[in-house]
Amino acid sequence: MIKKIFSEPLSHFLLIATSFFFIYNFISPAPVDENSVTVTSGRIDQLKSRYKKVWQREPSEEELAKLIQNYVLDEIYTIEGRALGLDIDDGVIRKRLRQKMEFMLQDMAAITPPTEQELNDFYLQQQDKYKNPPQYTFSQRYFSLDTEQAELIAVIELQQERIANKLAPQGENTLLPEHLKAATSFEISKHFGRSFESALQAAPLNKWHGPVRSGLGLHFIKLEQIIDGVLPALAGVEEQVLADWRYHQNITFKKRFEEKLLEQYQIKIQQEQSVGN
Amino acid sequence: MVKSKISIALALTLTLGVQGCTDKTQDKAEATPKVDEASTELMAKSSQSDIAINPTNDVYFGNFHIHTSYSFDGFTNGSVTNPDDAYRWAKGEAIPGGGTGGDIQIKRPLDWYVVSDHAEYMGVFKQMSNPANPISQLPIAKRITSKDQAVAFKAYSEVNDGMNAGISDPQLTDPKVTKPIWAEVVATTESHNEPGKFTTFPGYEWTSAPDDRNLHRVVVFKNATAIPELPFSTIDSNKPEELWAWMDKQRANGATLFAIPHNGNASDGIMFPENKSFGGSEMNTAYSDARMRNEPLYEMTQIKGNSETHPDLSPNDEFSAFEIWDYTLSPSAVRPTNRVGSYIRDALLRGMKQEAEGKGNPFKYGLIGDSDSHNSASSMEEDNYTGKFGMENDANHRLNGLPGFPEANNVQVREFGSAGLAAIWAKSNTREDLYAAMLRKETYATTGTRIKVRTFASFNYSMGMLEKANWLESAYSDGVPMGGDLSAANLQGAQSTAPILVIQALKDADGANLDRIQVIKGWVKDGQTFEKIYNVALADDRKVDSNGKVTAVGNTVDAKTATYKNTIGDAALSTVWKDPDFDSKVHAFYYVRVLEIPTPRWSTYDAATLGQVPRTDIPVSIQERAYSSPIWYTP
Repeated sequence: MIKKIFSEPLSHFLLIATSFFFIYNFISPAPVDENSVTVTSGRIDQLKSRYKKVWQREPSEEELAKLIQNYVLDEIYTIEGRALGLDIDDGVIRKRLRQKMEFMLQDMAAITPPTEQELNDFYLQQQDKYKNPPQYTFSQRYFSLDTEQAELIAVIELQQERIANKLAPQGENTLLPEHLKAATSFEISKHFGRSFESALQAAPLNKWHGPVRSGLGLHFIKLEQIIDGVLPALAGVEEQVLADWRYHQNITFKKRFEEKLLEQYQIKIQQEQSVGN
Repeated sequence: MVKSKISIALALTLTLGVQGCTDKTQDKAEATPKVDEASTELMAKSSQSDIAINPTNDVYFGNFHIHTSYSFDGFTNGSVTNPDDAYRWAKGEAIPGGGTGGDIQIKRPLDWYVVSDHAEYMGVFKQMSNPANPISQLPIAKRITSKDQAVAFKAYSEVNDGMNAGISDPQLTDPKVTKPIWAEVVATTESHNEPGKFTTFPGYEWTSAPDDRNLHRVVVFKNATAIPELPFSTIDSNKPEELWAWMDKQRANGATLFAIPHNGNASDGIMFPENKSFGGSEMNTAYSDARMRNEPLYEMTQIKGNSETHPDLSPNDEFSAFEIWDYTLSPSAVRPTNRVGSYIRDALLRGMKQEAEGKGNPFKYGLIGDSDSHNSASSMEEDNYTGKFGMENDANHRLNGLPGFPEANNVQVREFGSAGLAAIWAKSNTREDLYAAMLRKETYATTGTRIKVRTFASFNYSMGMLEKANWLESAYSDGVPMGGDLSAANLQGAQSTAPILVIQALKDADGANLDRIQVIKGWVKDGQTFEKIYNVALADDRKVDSNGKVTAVGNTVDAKTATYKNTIGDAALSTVWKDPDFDSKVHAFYYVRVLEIPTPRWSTYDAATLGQVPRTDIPVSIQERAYSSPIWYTP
């Protein structure tokens, strides 16, 4: 129960937001009287250093006085503007507030490291990503569809005869490798197109087989070995799993946070019933 | 009301928070001893030595030129993703696309990838939303992050114009802000490098554009060894010569790096200078040496247009008008006026002419294609195009216009081509082998599809060599691959009196058939440059007629459904070609261009998705292509 409440994104957010609030108040206490503006020495230091950054020198006394006066006016305008309700419905302010909140959310997601159980669950759930891919060792001979159909049929029949006589088929000379050793799905689709792996899976072992179709044309294949994909132990890929967990946590954390927020509000959408399309 | 609710929740959290924390610490402590470090190390080692080496090289496809929301213009224009997302995209994961669209995902993952955000204000615009970062307090931050697109775009334009005019806001370039961002980008890049499976290189873009004329370079580091604390940006200097001097210094400090220029088409003639460079250099050996020491490759095709050649420069090249993007970098869609100095074929010719004059060749470039997307996703798949910027992640917007954008800019967006690819022939998919291949220029460009092309040249090949099973081994042992050099010395005692080129091309395994292979030859005679295009292999048994013409391959594109058929063209084309016009006394280069049959342009796929008739102001179909690095002959 405790754990559950703690892992709620909204609670995280509130915890951190409040600490911000307290720290801020501690550093620069707000003016007490509604009609007064206090410029603290910390604020003056900040104005100075900002000036220094732009102009690469200290402001003169006169310049500092102007900076302070300008700051005071900023404050007064802000108070007066708020009193007039000018901050309400201001697109710029709204967008800034949302961005600030989103930024606070961003890394909060991964503040608490996952428990062993959580990490293991995540690893099993995403296991396809960590699995060593299956590997295929095979020979292939290629025949393009560029030749006339009758000629192509004759060529294919000739190869089938060769195979029957225990001879290897003779393919066209192209940029395709004739023998692939422990090739992964990625490598196979890079050479032969995305549909070719399934043809290999269906092929018999140590026997010329075909013709089968690829993204390039026709092939005879002789499959020598398939090494099934295995899932390595978590210890061997933990660093990657942890990085992925953080990445996913960021995404789901924000989604859950927004869902929670939406739950706390009654949303009424007063949309006119549209007529036609 | 809302306030009181939050206070209650808060009180609860504060009380429970402490217990929760203790809880987690214990879990972590229990988990730690279970990680067997010895076995982890062993696994890492064995996987290193498992990397297969192919002495005759395999081709590896990827991109050097990718921006994320860490680029000031990427952020302003709607990107919501980071370098981490970019690498995940290249490996095949779905990532948020930004704009009004959903997630984006590549159909076929890549072999390698480089995030190269702009050095200028790197990550700074994004940090403007971070209340913990002091720059979020700056007045410009409010405008940059404004919801009102007009306010945000105006603020961005001011920064951009300032940058192009050499003025920067020191508040935005504070090393305290920028150093940790660059360090984070490098660390992210390191964490995604998987030798033998997926390669990354740390990189960034140097964004010089004096008066909106593009001189941009992507700077690529071989690894993080001795990598500088901060990248050299156009704020440091907008002169390429100064960038090269800085790069030389980094090399002396132990770093390994090169730069890749791009978009000569948007440089208005200053990318490949004729007499004097923008930086003030005369065209001499010192300039040629400095340029070639730092820049082995040129990015000749990308989203912002193709820079091979322009119809004005090559009027006899019937395929020259491909994805021409005829603008400078001005936000108000200004046309350049200088063709010379903007395109690579012309530069290859003039570079050779300079060499003939004893001034060295400053433009002896290998070729690659790339992206320049600002949305983490390279977006090279024509049927899976997601635009250059986040805000284009909506078929209707990128095709018919972005809300609030002037029509002139919408035309520019429509005229963006989908990204290209850089193809590298290397012994394995590792930093070591890819980097070595790039230095020897054994690379080629594609306009986005995964055509395979091999090109070799020699005076000692036999015309029947392709019939031999081991032709590839002899091609390497008896000649040079793309990017290589032949010289008069190779002619002595050789079997042939003219160069023999061996060329093999194979279609993209999931793509369109091939139309033809062309050899593009350039030479210099009596102080003049010449170019000629030879059709050396033609699909569908076509022949070159007595006037040197070839009938078109045809077009199977159905615009309404955005489909095509491989009923025309060939899957594989190859030839052994001997230059019939060779003159051993003059400088020459040869590069290969392979054309696919016509396929639908991204805009045609979008029109089909939207159920609208394809627009008439952009082509319905295009012929995707590959360009090999040249092979040079020096008398």
